[in-house]
Amino acid sequence: MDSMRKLDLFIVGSFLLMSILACRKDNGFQNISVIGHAGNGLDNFATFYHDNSFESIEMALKTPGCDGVEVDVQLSEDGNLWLFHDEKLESESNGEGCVPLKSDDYLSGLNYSSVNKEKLIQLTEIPVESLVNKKLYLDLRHFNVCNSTIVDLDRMVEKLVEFKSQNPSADLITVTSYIPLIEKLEVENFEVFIGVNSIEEYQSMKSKLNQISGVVARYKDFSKDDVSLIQSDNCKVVLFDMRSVSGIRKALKKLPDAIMTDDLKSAIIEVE
Amino acid sequence: MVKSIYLFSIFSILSTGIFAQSIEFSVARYRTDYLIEAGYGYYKQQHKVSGFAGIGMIKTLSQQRFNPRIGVEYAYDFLDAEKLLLGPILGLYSSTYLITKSPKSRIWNEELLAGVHFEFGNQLKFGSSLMYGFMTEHYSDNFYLSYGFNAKIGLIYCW
Repeated sequence: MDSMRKLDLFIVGSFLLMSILACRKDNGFQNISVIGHAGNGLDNFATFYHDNSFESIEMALKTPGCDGVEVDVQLSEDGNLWLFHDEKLESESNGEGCVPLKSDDYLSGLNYSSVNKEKLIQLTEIPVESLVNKKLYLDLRHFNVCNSTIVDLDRMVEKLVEFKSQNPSADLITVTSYIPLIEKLEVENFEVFIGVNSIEEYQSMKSKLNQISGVVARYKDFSKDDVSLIQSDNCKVVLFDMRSVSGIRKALKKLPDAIMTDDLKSAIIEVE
Repeated sequence: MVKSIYLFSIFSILSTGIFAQSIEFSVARYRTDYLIEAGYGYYKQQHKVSGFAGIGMIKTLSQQRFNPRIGVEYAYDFLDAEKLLLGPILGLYSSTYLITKSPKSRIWNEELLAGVHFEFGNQLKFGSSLMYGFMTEHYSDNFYLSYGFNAKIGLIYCW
């Protein structure tokens, strides 16, 4: 009898806990785009596939409610564009060194150090048929940490122009903070968003550039007022680095134009 | 297919002589959410078969997307001491939720997991299990296969 009372208490306690945990979602986020960070998310164990892999990008683009994906682009020694996030290959693949110092043959033989061992892919391998009415953010990596040099910017832009001409239906947005690269991209009529770490950095960049189309920033680094200030310059704001529902909500409350999330499905649920 | 497996499991249980029964309440972490669940278990000698129903807490309670999860588990207790049961466990689970308001956005996850479990106590027991295995996700015409896991703790009342 004593045990039954304990059981009753446990059941009642569970329902009370559920009631306390339940909370209402905020509305009014329907106009905020949801972009998959590095495909279907980065550093999130709920994601099925490794960031920047074909599988991850394809899964994100096929997810109902996903407005696009962001990928990290690096130039290989042979002058082709590869998708890879980190500065060094050994940090997340079975390769060694830096992408800009490696040939296409070498990179094509590599796979990520993940359960599924996804292969590294080139930008041209993105499933473009899934990109119709979706945005593709290209985070351009211009610096080679292995020899502390800048990659061949002309070659990088040339390959981007080639990709753009082959995929006219894709809505491409390039992301970089490197002014010489921004200038070259603007000549080729690319939409350029800048990556910044603070509102001060944004203002500094603004004084150096004629027009900034958009800003990509960590959601923790910018307040709602900062976001509003940037938008008042006719500049779009994309916030990233959200790996939990709580983080997604904090970012959405700042009313950016888009969020670049590591938990795509949760973000889509939140904006619905 | 999944429903057939559940029905087969239930009939298999009913066709055997029942040695003891239990009701169980547990919380678990699985790959896509935290889970709160209730279950019903049958013990016969060193075998145990359980059925569970639960909800994903973040999706259901916080995000207001009903995320039910059902499952069956089979455990064999190779250590069957006075107060301690310990052994391998195998589980099959299914869960679902909607991403958008469109019915076409309904996600289904199935998991086939194996691991270890233990139960400690007499009539009121503390139980825990740790499992790893395959997980699928499918919606519309899309199908994905990856790995899944389940770490669970709970209270078990036996009679």
